[in-house]
Amino acid sequence: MKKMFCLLLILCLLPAAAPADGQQGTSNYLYTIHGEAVSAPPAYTLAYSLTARDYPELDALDGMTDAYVSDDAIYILCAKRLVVLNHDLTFRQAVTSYTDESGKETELDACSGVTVSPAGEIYITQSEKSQILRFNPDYTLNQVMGRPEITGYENVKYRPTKMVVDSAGRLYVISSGMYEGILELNGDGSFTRFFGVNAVTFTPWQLLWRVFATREQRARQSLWLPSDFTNLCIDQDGFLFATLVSTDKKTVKRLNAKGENIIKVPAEKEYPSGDLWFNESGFGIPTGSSRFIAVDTNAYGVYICLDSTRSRVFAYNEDHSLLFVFGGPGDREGYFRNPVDVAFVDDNIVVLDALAQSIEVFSPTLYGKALMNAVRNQYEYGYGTAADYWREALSYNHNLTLAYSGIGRMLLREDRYEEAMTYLKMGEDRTYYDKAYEKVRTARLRKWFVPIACVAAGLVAAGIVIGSVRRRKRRREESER
Amino acid sequence: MRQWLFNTFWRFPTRLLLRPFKQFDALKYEHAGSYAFAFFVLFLEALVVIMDYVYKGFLINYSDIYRINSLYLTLTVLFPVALFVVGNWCVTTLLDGKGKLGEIFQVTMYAMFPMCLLQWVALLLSNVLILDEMVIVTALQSIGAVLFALYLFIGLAVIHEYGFGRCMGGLLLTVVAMMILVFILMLLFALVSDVVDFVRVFSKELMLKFF
Repeated sequence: MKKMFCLLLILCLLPAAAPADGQQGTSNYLYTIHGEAVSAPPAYTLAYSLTARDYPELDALDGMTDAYVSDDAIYILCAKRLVVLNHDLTFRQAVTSYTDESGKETELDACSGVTVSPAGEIYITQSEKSQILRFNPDYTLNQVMGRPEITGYENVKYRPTKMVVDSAGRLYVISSGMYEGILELNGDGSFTRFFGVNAVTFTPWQLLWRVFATREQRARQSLWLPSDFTNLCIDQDGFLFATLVSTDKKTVKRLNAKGENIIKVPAEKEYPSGDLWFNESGFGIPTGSSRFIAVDTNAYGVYICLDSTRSRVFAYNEDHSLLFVFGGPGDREGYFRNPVDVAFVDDNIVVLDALAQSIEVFSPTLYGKALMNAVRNQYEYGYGTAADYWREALSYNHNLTLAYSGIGRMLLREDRYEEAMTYLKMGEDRTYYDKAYEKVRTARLRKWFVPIACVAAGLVAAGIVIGSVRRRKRRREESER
Repeated sequence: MRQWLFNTFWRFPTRLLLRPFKQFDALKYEHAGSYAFAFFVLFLEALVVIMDYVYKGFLINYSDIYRINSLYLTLTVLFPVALFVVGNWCVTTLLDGKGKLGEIFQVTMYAMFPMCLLQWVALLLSNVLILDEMVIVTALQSIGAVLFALYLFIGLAVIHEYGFGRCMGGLLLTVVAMMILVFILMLLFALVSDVVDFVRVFSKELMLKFF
């Protein structure tokens, strides 16, 4: 009895003790397939946050705009300097100026985007100066790429904000205000083509309104322009992930070589669009749908998107299912004031907060590790190992439908169809449930068809016999009468 | 009793499905129709809608069963039926229709009978079929809907003693009448809630002032 009481007391105290251990995450929820938010354990929590004070070599970390993580270094770009860090966030080098072609020392200024080619060349876009600086791996200037020659666009301002380099050395540049899409440039900076234009979409209501508007009204309406891209990254398969300003919910796209969005989700599933429930209006609170401004991917198809509306980070797997959420607006630990970019650094996630002038490093919790390991193994077709990790994740989060479907798929692979059905049903995985059920049904039919057919044949035969006996009997009675 | 049960719940409805013109005529002039059966069909239809929400095969069931509202689902059946019957009665009374309110109701329910049956069959099938075969379920449901429209049309034409064109026009006007009815109902609800609100606020003020 006493033991029981002690146990109860401990159990009662547990939830109260949880926030105190510093492992309390931020924005801990996931969405069900009905779009309902259910709480989930924190997958990533703040490990530490770094400011200029942590780097004696730096005066300040002001005006952070972009981050790029290469295989061995992290490049953090501020408006006036490029900071190079090792993967463990220790300082390596800072670049504040370069020697241009004429031998003049020039300060870095108005930098907006950084990327590193597979060969180690560093590209820095300067949107206000309309140029891209190309550095050798030893941080000496290689080339200044000015405005590319695009016939017909001589009067449009060229403002390269972000860019990436693919494995073939092609440059993909976002120029804000150029609505024709992402600029694809050759390695030497000459223009090839526009890429992945966002088609303008209208609502029926807008079209109807336009029909009734007079010519003057129409002239005063704002132009319907295709939306602007805001950020870019290249994923493990060489496809381009891009975020954009959009009126609809599709603010992240995965573009193939033709520039088409290849994120396709079945009708019953939500497009990866951040929050599904949000305030449409209100005072002093963030309103409207999520707007992604930065995206990064890791080696096994997980992509993280930074939502500027509510300062949250959303992670999706390659099937576009939500894995976890963290962050949020605020001053507290683990919240952001003005996040500008997000990036994977090995297993950790780094978020740049421009207003707090800090680099926030998030590391996975035990739950997060299990989740990511499961996703990785599933991506690498290691379904058995993945199932073990899914089980571990389930022990932290019973509401993780993804885990149920992961285990179900493993069971299906091992021909344990009945069990697979149970798990796939809990995982709301109808495509694979279908496959398991088909097998189960075939087995059942095979087992029961012969007995049922025999019984049915027997019944029919008995009916015929009984009928003929009765008829004969009746006939006899009639003849006797 | 057994004879009556057999006649109302099996013999007449099935005969009606085979020879709708003759039997709808019988429904009107020989009072062969039965309210018991009409309400029975209504009940079955409401039940199948609720059952469909919960027990439809998992493969095509996307409803959130934890948020089921069986009263609301029942109303989604009852309300349109009531609206249609009243709307049709209003219109046909003005257009020299010979059908009475009760007859319109009976015809609607007898016409709904095959659709209701097919929906039950579809519900059962949806639990044993795989995704590739779900076409059968949707096909059954759409066949049911077509049958319902067909029998309803024939039945109404017979009991109102209308020709084809007249019956068609009557149905179109019924739709308009249904819309007007909904509008009036909304107006009524808004008004009633205003009155209730007024009484509530008024009594509250009185209480605050004098007690």
